[in-house]
Amino acid sequence: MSVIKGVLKEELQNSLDMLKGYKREIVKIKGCLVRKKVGKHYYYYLAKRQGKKIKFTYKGPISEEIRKAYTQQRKMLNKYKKLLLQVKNQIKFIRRALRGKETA
Amino acid sequence: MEKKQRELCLEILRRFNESGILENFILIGSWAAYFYNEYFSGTSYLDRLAVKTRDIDFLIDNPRKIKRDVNIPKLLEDLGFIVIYKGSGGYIKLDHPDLLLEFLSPELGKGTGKPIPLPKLGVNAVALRFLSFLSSNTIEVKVENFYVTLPHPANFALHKLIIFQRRFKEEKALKDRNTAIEVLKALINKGESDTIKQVFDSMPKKWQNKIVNGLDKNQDKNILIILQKIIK
Repeated sequence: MSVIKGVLKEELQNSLDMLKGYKREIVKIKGCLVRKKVGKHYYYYLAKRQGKKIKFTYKGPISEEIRKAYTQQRKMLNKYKKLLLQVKNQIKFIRRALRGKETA
Repeated sequence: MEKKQRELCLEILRRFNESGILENFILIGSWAAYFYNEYFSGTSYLDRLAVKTRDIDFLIDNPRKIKRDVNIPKLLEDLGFIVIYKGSGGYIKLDHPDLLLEFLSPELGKGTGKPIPLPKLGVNAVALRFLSFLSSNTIEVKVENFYVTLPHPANFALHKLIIFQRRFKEEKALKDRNTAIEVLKALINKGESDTIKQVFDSMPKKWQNKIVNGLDKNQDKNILIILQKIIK
């Protein structure tokens, strides 16, 4: 049983490191590109939540390439959020398993 | 093993193969034991080393031989892998909830205790002792339409018998010993006792003594009996 417990402890530490890592990545890419029409032109803003407020950072008229990069980033953000949830569940599961009683 | 985990491992191997860097790597650790299933097909080996962590370790025998520029973190980014820096030396690991990717390289000379930079791959490798023993005798296993290089099972098992004595954590040592005995048994069942003997004989005397003394000290009768039968 000690092998399993040891492996679980190691896995818990790995998952805790990963939790930090995903949170860091999410903060890095958080934000949504918003399009606003002013006159005949479209201008882009990066909308980012800061506590209760949403801050808009002006990005100006942007190229198709940059727009695609933001779309890709958005996809990654969703992916990271999903994986973060998976890591949180893993941590819960491992902690529960480590608390469990050992039988002979 | 979870299907998801296996699928992710295969996807990594596929990408490494497509980008031309797979040939520089030797798959070691518990995933090597998993791919031995192919090598031991027809014998009783069933990858019974079920207690495995999520680590997938790639050994780079000679970092200077890497010719291609392939940024591995970028290559695996869309799969959800993130870069994690570990320890004061800044070892790079690529983490995913299902798999943790690590690169290792043999430690040469006195060793610096620092990771070996692999600028062409955008990662670094942990330098460890005795790894050259794994790369000195390898086999190739077919996976889908490409080949994965693994240490020969005899080298893999005997290497485990050396390193289990260097483990700080008791459970890891126990895991290494269990793995070694499973692989040795499978080799004997496959009729490769001579190979075990050859590999054992090729080891420096100091390493041979280390294995025998270590097993003796730990009163590991099972492995000792198997080994003594072969060596004699």
